[in-house]
Amino acid sequence: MPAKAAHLTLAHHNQDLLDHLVSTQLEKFPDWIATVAFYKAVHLVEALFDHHGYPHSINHEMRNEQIKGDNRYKNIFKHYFPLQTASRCARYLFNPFPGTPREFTDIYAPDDVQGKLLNHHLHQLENSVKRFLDPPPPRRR
Amino acid sequence: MATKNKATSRPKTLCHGDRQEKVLIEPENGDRFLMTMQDAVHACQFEEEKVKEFRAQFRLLVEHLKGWMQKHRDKIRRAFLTTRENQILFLVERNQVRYDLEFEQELAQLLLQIAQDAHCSLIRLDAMPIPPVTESQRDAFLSPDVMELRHAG
Repeated sequence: MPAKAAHLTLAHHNQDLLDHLVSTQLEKFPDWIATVAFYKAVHLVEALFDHHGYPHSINHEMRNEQIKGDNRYKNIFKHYFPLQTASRCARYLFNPFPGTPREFTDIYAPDDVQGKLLNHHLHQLENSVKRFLDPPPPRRR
Repeated sequence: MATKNKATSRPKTLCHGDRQEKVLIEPENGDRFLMTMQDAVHACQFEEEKVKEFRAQFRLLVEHLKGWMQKHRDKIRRAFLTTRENQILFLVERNQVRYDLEFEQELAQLLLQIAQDAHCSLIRLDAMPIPPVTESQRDAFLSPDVMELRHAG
């Protein structure tokens, strides 16, 4: 059962892979980039749960319920949900029937993956988590 | 679920007078529940109340989702409620293939509202927006327990 530090290490590890894939393979592997982005979000959320004393989630359902059930995490869920959806699409949706999305890029163009999933949703989620983990010091009078 | 005895046309009757008599219940997942008759009666009564409450909350949920679909009808092709493990899945098929940031934000907001609504306290709802798909692709997300939703308009 990894704790906060372990989850943050894994989140950084995922970010290293994202940096590598985005700089060299964005056009080729947008589906895997979306999936790695989601799992980075999972680790950030689990680090936050540990920080707030919540138990480690044993599955996606438990994690989702915990995020939705705590009012402090509203903004986190708004960005977590699209990352989860993209990851599910990447893993479960595609087949070669005509008239339906054949490839991940039919739904998420590489620009969407970089601009919306990474630079918007993942960035916002990470900032929200950081605000809890490293709150600004109290103001001095 | 079955009793160890051969099933007969008449149910086996356990009387409330036998309060301290033990009963053993073995559901198909291999769990074993050994309890007194009194506790078994309480469990049945509690379960009956919970089922009633869940049904009422489910009806509310359906109306809520239909209202939400009405607001977003120009973006929705079809929508379904289905079961998934311990959750209910709201599967929403969009009209458009391309990802729609605004639509996903609205859907996330809907999930938050329902999760924090005291009138839906027994509901565990997940949602999955998908592009237009074939029946076989859609079926991959649907369990045998499924209902199609149509917007309220």
